[in-house]
Amino acid sequence: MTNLLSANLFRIKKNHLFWGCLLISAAVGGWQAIQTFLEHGRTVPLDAIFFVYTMLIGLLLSVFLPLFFGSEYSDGAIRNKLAAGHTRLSVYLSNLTAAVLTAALFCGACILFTLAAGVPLLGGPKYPGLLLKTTLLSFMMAAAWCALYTAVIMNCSRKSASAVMCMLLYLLLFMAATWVFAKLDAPEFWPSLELIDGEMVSEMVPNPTYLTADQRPFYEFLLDLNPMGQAIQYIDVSPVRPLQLALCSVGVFAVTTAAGLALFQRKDLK
Amino acid sequence: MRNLLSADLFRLRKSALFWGLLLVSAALGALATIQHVMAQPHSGHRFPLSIDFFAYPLLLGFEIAVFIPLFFGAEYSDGTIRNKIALGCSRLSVYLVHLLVSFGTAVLASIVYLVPVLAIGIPAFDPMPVDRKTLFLLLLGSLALLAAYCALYTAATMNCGRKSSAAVTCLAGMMAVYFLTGGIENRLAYPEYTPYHVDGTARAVLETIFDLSPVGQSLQYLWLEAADPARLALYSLGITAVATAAGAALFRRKDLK
Repeated sequence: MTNLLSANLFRIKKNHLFWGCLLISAAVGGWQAIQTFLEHGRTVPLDAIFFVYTMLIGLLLSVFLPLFFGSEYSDGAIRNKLAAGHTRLSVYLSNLTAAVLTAALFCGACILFTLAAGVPLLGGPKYPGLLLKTTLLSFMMAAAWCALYTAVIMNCSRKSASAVMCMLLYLLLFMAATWVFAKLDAPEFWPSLELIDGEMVSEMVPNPTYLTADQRPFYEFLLDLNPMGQAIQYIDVSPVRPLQLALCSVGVFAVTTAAGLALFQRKDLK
Repeated sequence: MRNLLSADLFRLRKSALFWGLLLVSAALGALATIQHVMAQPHSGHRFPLSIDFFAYPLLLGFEIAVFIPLFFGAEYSDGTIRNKIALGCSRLSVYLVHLLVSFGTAVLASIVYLVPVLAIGIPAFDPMPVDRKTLFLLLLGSLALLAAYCALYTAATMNCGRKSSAAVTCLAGMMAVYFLTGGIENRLAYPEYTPYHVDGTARAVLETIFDLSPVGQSLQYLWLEAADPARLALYSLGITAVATAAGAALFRRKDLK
């Protein structure tokens, strides 16, 4: 397994796409700090822009992982690894580990450049403890993304198909997350304009689609289960249900890896 | 050129991807309309038919970002393109036939999307709040927009030797343009007399970018906010012409190996 992992890491180091994605993460981090300073001066704290990478990481991984690991199928590298006596389990897990390390590097590059440009321009973080806690949660979310994509990539022998599937999965989760978030975020009352005696009168009426107290936990769970739903919450720096978020990430990671592995064990590698 | 066209159409008919695209379009049309029919009683007023009608440019922008690279990109990996050229077909005709077939597919998928929208929507919703002439202009404009999407994706696919990188380029490009256009729309939407309101030259520049962006155009059709459909159509035709000229020029020089 160590051999497989070091082979993966060596290949990553030589990969142009990896350096390209790393550059994009770094640029987004730095640019966000500079742009915020140019637009708002020092009125916005560094904390408020710290977590841009949580929205970006799913998209970057959906491009990088299928192209990088998918080529193991087209080049026959996976068959070679198995022929050399490695188990399917260790091939899968070493790819997953390499994916998680890559994700951590992408996040790290963005954070590093946010700090490098942000601390001098916007001042140091106001709540370092909170930032650290949310960063930890966001890294768990990034690992959940990796588990999802790895399960797709390892069970799809065509690189182009797995690339499209990963990106569509990202889009689907993105749309699902914004939909659930909008439902949770809807106001309990909204203004209704009515024409009475030739005058517009505004009246607050109850919103019929407002989620009741016993419906909310279900939608909150849906939001937390979805890595993109987690990202939307991390952007706001202090998520309300940290424990549930962490457990959801662990759950998604474990379930998708178990399912992906089970399928990969039976896959006909031709 | 007619042989190339009939070969492409034959392959299209046999392609599971093509039938999948039509199925997804029809399903999206039905789902969107049913969702709005169910939400209508809660909203306290009747929706106009336009709530779902002009969603097809945006949806197709995503759908054919998958279809074009996977369907035409396969010609590279299977060596079909080389065979066509070895048989004496010119590169330009190979390129133009692909563009034509992808445009036809996009139009067909739009029609398939509109069938359930009209079937469910006409009895359930109010008619569209535009007159016939505007509707006709909007329809023509949306066709030009579909052509622009096809031209952009065809240019990327025909100049990218690998199917997977073509697929990623098209889909990631579409997503990037989608997010950037959303950002511009946010900037433009700040109300007047707020510190973030943009006006003057900056506003004119942002508005032009918004009108030029295929996603910006798609959103204006979706919201029925296309103030000047003729200008948008001209922009779309411009994008189609530039992308096709550039794509075909690059493809002529491409080393097909």
